[in-house]
Amino acid sequence: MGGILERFRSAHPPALQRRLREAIEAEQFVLHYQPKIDLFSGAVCGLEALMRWQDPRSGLVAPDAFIPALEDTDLIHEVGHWAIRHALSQRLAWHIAGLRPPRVSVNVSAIQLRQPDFVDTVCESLETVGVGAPGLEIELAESLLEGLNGDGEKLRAMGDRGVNIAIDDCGTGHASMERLAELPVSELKVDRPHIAGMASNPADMATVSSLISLAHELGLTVVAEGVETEEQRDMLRALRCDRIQGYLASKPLPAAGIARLLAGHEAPQ
Amino acid sequence: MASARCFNFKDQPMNTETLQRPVALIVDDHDAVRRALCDRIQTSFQRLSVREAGSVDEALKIVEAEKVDLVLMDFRLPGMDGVDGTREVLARSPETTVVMVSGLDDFSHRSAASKAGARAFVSKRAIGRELIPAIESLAGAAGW
Repeated sequence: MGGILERFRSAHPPALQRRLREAIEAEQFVLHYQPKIDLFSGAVCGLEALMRWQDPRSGLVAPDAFIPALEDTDLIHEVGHWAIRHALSQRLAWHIAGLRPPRVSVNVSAIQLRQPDFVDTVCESLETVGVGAPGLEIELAESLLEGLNGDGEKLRAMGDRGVNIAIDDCGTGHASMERLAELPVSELKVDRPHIAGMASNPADMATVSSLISLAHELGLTVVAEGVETEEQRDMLRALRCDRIQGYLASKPLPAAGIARLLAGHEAPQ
Repeated sequence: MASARCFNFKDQPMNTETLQRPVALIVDDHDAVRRALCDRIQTSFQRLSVREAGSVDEALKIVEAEKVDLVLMDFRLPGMDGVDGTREVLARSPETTVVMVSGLDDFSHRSAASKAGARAFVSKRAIGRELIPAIESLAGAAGW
């Protein structure tokens, strides 16, 4: 619903949309992967796929600069589907190389989830690439939980098939215990501003602490996003957070860098 | 990661050394998977000279240009699929050993691969442990 309205509201110039269409044809999108590290064992226990646009004019472009423009058009479906297939193929490639890749997670927007055939396309990708459903995790922004309506069924269908669901950017208050308990969520990610403010702002500390308690009561794993200092890591450890993600452990890496990490040549901190 | 050399279809060297070695051809449309298969095969079977193709059309050009001993054929490919691709390869080169590699693993897929002439079927979910033993046993029988 609202497809025509969304097009009228489009805030991005046609030139950018044309360039993005060309970027798809020229295969200029790439995925980098940011590890999720177990706070206690130090093991790499997840890899979040993050899209980059290798623009011949501007170099490597971060997703914030082009994902909103993709979402203004149907291109988001094509690129979103590509990202899932590509991340799964890469996971299979690491497996073929004799490595032990953890599950890969891919960010999915509300617009993608709204597609009637979303579950089918995810399942088809798993089958054709040849990766079991537990090898994939879908990350959804916490804000998406409001107004989920019928799309909650899609999440339950994917959960039934074994796909993991993570709730991203938590800390805005949308992730109520009631809402989380009725969905097949396995992981909750605490948004980076709360991690950044944790040491100096008691409100952020309270948010992080209560999110960790809430998640653990529901049996969910907690990942702290944007961890950049040893102080933050130590505080999270004291709060019994499970995993961290951020520049302290590893920046997002191209596939070859992840292969070296998984092979043990480069240990995360 | 292994640093084995894999040659793209467009720049395959055709020197006398590679012509004398048994040739393996990896057919898969996913770049990362194809390259990983190339590396794995080259590392495990150093006597093989490895080629790669992203489609059946590319693969057939290689089969028509030189003797190919082993083909790893992906079941699902854009354009002609791996089943018809296997038939086309064997029509041009009956001595070639084809191993079907598939993300989907059920009776109908195995049966279709077998009827097309594939000598082995490897599920991608088990590829880490099944691929190399499967090729080893076929290599012994084929004598390369």
